[in-house]
Amino acid sequence: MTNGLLGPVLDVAGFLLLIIACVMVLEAWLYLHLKCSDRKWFLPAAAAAAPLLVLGIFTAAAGHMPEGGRFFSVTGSALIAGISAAAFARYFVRGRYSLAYMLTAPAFIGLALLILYPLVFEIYLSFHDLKLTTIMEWKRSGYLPFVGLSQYWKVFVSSPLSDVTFWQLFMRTIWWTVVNVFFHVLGGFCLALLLNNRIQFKGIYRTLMVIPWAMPQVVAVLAMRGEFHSQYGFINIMLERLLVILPFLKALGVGPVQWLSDHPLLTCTIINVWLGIPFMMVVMLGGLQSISHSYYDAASIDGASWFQRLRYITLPLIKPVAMPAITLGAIWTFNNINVIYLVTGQSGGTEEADILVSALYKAAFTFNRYSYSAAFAIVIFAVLFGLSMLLMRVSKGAESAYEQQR
Amino acid sequence: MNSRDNREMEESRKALSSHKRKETAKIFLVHILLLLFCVVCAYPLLRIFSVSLRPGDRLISTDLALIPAGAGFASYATLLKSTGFLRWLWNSLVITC
Repeated sequence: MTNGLLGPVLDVAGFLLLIIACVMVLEAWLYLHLKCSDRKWFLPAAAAAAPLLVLGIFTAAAGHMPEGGRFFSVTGSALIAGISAAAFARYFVRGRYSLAYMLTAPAFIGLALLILYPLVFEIYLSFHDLKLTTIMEWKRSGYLPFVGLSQYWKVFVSSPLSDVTFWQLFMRTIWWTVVNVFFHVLGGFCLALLLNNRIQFKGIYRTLMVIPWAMPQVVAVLAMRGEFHSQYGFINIMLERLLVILPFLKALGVGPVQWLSDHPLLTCTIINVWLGIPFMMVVMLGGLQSISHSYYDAASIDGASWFQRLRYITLPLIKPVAMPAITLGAIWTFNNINVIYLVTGQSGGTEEADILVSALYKAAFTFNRYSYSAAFAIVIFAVLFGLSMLLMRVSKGAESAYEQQR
Repeated sequence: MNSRDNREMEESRKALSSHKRKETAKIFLVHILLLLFCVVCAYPLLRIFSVSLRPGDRLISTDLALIPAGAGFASYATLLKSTGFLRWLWNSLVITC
């Protein structure tokens, strides 16, 4: 009975109670901090209490203390956390905002653990050397050899996969991003223009066209990979039947193609364009609907053609909506490991279509080069950050529509 | 005066009706293009559904029919009975909440 229906429900209820208890302990700790922050004994007491609390939790929960160097690093970070929380309560929080800090603290701490700690650990890894041969030593003693900047040097100089260098991967990623974002924006904008007219069934069209974005991405990508199969996927079947109906196309070179073996990057591009157009369409449609009709009425009174209206009214007024969406789309496409890895990266696939992030994934988890991947990831992040800053600066997309009209 | 007014009314009525014809042609074109792209977007989903209906011994075939020959819900029955699908669904629900 407990393994059937009641078991998982009790598991979840127990887990929820644990979370509630932790949040209550955290809030009580914060409340004491904020209430007693102006007593004389506050700072030394907080500095002493935090590591003791952490050690108490370790002993109670795990049944044993952490060994060796880990012990000191845990106590040290608990000390730092205790002192900084005490200083924060005493010198930075004034009475009126204490409730706000208390209420947002659990979410903030959860996010910090899930985001900040892995980031800090990754930076730590990138300066040391963790790979298959050093991992057992690290597990045993907590010691990793320090190698300085040599991992970063290796990122630029040596190759992550069999024979492709960082610069080739970089160029291929830039090409992949530019082509994909171009077709996303073109398709999304055209569809938004079509949908912006006074027609019937707009809701039905929008619902049907959002399907590629609404489907779980893994399912959609794997299904499309199956459809590009050279014998049983519908793309090649339709091309064969088209050749039967219109045989002159064979002379033009149209015919069934070995998509996954001969043109892996093209296949990934087609799949990603199909996936990404609905998002751009929805964003552009929102932007188009926010342009007031008085501009178009004034323009048609002045005798502007359709193309002139598009160029002088629609494009400038849709820029504050479109530029953040394009930047987001560019970042997502640059880092889109789902499509590349699921279509070509699994066993039996090819390495020709790898972009930076999929090469990173393979280096980390197939070849177990963890430190190299950490440095690689930080380099990719720096490149992407620089490119998106450049994009936002060049397009002046961060200004609002009113500032642009001046 | 009367005949000139009549002529002007005739011309404006003809202009209106040709404008209406252009408007109808444009709306027709818009509907066709939107329908085309809806088919492109929704067709893979329909293909997934039709492949899921195929009987177990004819899983790969070059037949493009939307409802395959010998269609049945046997795969769905296997999914619900032999895999932990309901457990996975509960997990997803819990994580979302």
